[in-house]
Amino acid sequence: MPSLVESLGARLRELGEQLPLPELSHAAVRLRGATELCGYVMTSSGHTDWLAELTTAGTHLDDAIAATRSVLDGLDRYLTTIGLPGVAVPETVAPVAVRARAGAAVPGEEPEPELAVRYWWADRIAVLTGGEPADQRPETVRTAGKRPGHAPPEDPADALRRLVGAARDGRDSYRDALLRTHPATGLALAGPAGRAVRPLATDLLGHAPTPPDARPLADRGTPRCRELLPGLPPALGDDLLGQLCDPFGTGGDGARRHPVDVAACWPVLVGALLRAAGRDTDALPELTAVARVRPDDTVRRDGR
Amino acid sequence: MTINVAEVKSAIHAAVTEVTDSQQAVQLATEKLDAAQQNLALAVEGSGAEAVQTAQAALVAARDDLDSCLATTVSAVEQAQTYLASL
Repeated sequence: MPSLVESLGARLRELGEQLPLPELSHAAVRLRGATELCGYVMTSSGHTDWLAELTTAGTHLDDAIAATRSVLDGLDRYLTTIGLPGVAVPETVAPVAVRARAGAAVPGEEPEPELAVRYWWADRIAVLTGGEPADQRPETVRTAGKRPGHAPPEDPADALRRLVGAARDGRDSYRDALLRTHPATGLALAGPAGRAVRPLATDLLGHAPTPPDARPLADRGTPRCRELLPGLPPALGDDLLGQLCDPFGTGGDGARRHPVDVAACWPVLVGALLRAAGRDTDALPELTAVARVRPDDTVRRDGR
Repeated sequence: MTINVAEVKSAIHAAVTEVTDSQQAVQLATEKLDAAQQNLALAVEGSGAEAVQTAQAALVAARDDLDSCLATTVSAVEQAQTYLASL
């Protein structure tokens, strides 16, 4: 008969295994698909509000996934503390390539919504970096797969690290790096960027950021935005950092922001704060991780 | 590059389908988080362990994030449907 502690461990492991990470992963994939399709529509209609809302929804979902992983982490640490095996990691939905599915209006002519999204993305990047819309777009970075059209977009945390590195090398390098970024990946940059900026701000300030800290942080982060992104609305960097310091405040108007502006601004802010904190891009994987890396020895660590 | 109204409508319908599917997954996740919150409270009642408190706080945060996510997608779908009706 199991002891009381063993029974508690079994209940907590069952609870951890039933956390809805598969459902959340599925929701994230579908939301990302909708975001791409909305980008397609925007090329003709100019209705940016939907995309801004879907991007915001995706950020909330990203935060929920991170929080759910923290639950798992907390349960695991507790079980370890009382000398019991940890929680088996629940299966999640494997990332899938987001494929646009707009219907073909002309028989025999395949619509290219994904390409339309790329044009929308690339044209705005050209405006932000002070150039003309490019005739040729560099090949998009994708995560894996031999056939580019069948490989999923790059992981947002990987893209953030690549973009922060490119931002150090000047405007041309940063523009090229942005152009190589898949729009769906770019629109998901806010999640890992927010996770990275918060601890960096805490390091710089010596305490968790609060509303009065917005100005000093902006003084460190936004000058680089003006150098690299001369077409960026001047207040955007201030607004993003202000929101970080005061998540429940009323600063800024998210609905009026162009989603690409936000995506392009975050890596520059992250890079500026990294430099101010005396750290480099090697620190980003740890800073952007959604939860601490779970040890491999959590299962049966008690030797039974 | 130009696209016609039929393509725009098709893309919006497809996007709304994706969002609706996402909403169903979020609602299911919400129910599971609620159950986890109750089960955890029962299982560790009286525990003051920091790791348990972290887990409980994270469950509340995840639930709040999902509420915000759902509310935002509802608003986005309403806007999409209004635009569809105007086409």
